[in-house]
Amino acid sequence: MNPKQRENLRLLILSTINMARGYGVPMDGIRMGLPPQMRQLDDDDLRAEVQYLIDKGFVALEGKVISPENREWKITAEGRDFLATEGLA
Amino acid sequence: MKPRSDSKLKTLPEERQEQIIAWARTQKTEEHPGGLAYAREQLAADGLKVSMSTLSEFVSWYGLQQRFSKAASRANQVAELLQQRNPDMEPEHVRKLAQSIFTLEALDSGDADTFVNLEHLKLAQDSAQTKADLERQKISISRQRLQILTCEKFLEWSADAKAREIAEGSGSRAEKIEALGRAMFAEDWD
Repeated sequence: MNPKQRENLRLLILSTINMARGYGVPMDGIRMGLPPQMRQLDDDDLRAEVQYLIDKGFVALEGKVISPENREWKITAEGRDFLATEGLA
Repeated sequence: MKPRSDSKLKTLPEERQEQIIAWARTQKTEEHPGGLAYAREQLAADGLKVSMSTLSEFVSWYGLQQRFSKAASRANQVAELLQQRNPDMEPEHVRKLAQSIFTLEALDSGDADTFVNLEHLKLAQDSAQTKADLERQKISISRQRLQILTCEKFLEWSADAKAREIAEGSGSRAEKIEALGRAMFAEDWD
């Protein structure tokens, strides 16, 4: 994946999480918002990009979970502001 | 800042987006190609030029947007209902249930109505459990009161010469109980 594709992937993940209107989105939900070729990515690869968005302050983990497979992520105010500046919200 | 190509359609007013989706769902006829190609033609006629991939991505995005929006709306309704029916329920618990409803609806991996019914059943069971716990507590208190009463009676009657005579006298255990009962409760013993 080249840098442009990676940037696009991050934006798609953020846009998908934003659609949940404040609710947390699980990994399967995030995958639904990706084009077919990106849906093939491993959970670990997608989690790494979600972690990047967390580090940027755009996304937060929803609630307390023990199992990684049950994680859900929700958008932060900063994430919504960023999408707005990109013309995506 | 130059707007992203995929934001052209995503930021259009809702009714305009609905129109694009309607075009994209149009069947092919002799007059027009139908589907995405038809939607693209119509947009171009309106002065909005987009690629097929942008249009395709928009259609997927719109579908997911609708799905998530419906899921969030359903979750909000359930949360409101739960809070109304169970005013004592912790807001954090309601929020968690609403999140579960959202996830079930958004992923279409379950029946939210079943989930809500199960939650109500669980609440009812919790309530029944509370009642059973209270009953157990009442029984425990009654037993304790009986034990205290027995001890009081023992202290009272151990100092009584007649009772001591019966207890220490001959006769079977049943006969002693009968005699003590009559001595203690008189006519109430029968």
